[in-house]
Amino acid sequence: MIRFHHVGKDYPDGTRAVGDVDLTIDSGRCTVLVGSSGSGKTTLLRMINRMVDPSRGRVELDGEDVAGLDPVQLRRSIGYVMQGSGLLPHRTVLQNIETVPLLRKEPRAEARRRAQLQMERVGLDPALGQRYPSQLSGGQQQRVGVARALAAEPDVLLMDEPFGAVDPLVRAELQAELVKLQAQLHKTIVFVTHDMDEALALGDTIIVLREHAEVAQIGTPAELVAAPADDFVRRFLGLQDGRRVLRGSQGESGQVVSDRFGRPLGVLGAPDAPDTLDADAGAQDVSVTGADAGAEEGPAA
Amino acid sequence: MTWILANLPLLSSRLLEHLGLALPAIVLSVVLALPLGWIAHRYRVSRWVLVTLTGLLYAIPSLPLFVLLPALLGTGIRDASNAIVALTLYGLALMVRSVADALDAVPPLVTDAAKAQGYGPLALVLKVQLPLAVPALTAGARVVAVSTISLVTVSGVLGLPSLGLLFVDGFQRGITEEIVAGLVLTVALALVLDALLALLGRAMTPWNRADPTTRRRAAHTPRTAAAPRAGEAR
Repeated sequence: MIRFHHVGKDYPDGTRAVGDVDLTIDSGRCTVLVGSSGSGKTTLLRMINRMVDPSRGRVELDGEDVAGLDPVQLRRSIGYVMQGSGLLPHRTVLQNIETVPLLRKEPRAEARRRAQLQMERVGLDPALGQRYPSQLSGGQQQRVGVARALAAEPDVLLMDEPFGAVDPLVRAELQAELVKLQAQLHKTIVFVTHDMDEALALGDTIIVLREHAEVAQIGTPAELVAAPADDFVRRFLGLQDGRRVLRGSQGESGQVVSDRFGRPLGVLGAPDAPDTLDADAGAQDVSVTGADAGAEEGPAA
Repeated sequence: MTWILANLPLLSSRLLEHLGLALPAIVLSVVLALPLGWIAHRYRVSRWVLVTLTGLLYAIPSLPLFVLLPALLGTGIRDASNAIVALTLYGLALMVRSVADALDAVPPLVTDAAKAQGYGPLALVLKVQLPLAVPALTAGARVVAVSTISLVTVSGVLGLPSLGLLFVDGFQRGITEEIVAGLVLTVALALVLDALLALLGRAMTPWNRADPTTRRRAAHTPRTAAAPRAGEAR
């Protein structure tokens, strides 16, 4: 469990990044911090592994104040994935993934074994192990980033817009795989993004942040869509411009769901649909439709 | 030509003596510049002080420095150590700035990511920043090497044995071949050392060969800016 006790951060030049944040992040679940750029969400995330120290308040990790922990040791115990992968350009893929186990003084053979295991886990061809990051595609680099964060088997995984720099198709693929991975691993994931669709796709809990990381709403994706706390959240969700308004119409094989432009998105609860989609996509589509049940009849904006 | 053929043993011993002065100075200036350059890179105030002061060293004319140093160090004017200290100072003048610039050029995103993975302060410098600075460091070291090779010749005026002594001797005795031989060997030595350092830099950065875009960037690192003119005495 990660606990923020009335945490704030001001920079020496007077910039206020975080005002007063008091919240708890559950263990074993994926919590998404979503907010526009400059909302202080990254600052909040980086307080967990002491890349940023708060000006006020304290951050507790499993009941322990992180300020009392050695930052270097702390960072080795927490996985961190960042935008643009943050891989070391002078190390091969395998060497990058081995980084933390080696920093933790694990034997070389053991570190190598773990690195290979993680490559498999995130769906990377073992042949890529000897390549340098610059020889990989953006999506592959992000997979390496995830593998590196997992290599030391941390309980907590911090992800700072990890899929922000890849194209939408690859992003969707990486998101789906993260959901699949999390279903096996049950890490405490704190995921920062400015993309509400990403938040809805990944979060067990979503925390919507305003300026200075002020909490606008905390809830499950379904709760947020069904009952946005205020106009800010509604706007962030894109509920105001009808972006999430879906319409149902009766088709031959079931109820066809279309978006606001009338583009068909899929079939609602088709009974003989192959079970290739994991809980994520399927369940969320239904919950979004459910939330907007009232809008089914009326035309979208 | 006959003079050269008749004096091959002399030429080769002058060449070795030249290297004996230049190599320690080159190695020393690079090794000493690393911590100094790191301090300059790390703290803004020290950067100004260090880069300016070491840079000023380069403004001291070389002949007076060779003459002055023994008074300060208590060495003999014809001691090799005297020349090596003077040459190291000139090397530092070029290299401290190179090291600071090279470290500055390491992408902050990479440094930040490494820190977030749990690199300690020392490991961060030794295993992340320095390796990534190698292309720019190599460029700096090449300038230092070429500059030092040419500066060594000045010590010939003091009678210190090196390729420079061939010019002095050639002038005094009117042997044109000896002057030409000294000049050609000096330039050749500088070129060979420069090429060797370039190869070493490449060998140390296999990741740059893997990526055509970074290779081009590395080749563009400024090395002509401070390149000394061969054989010129200050």
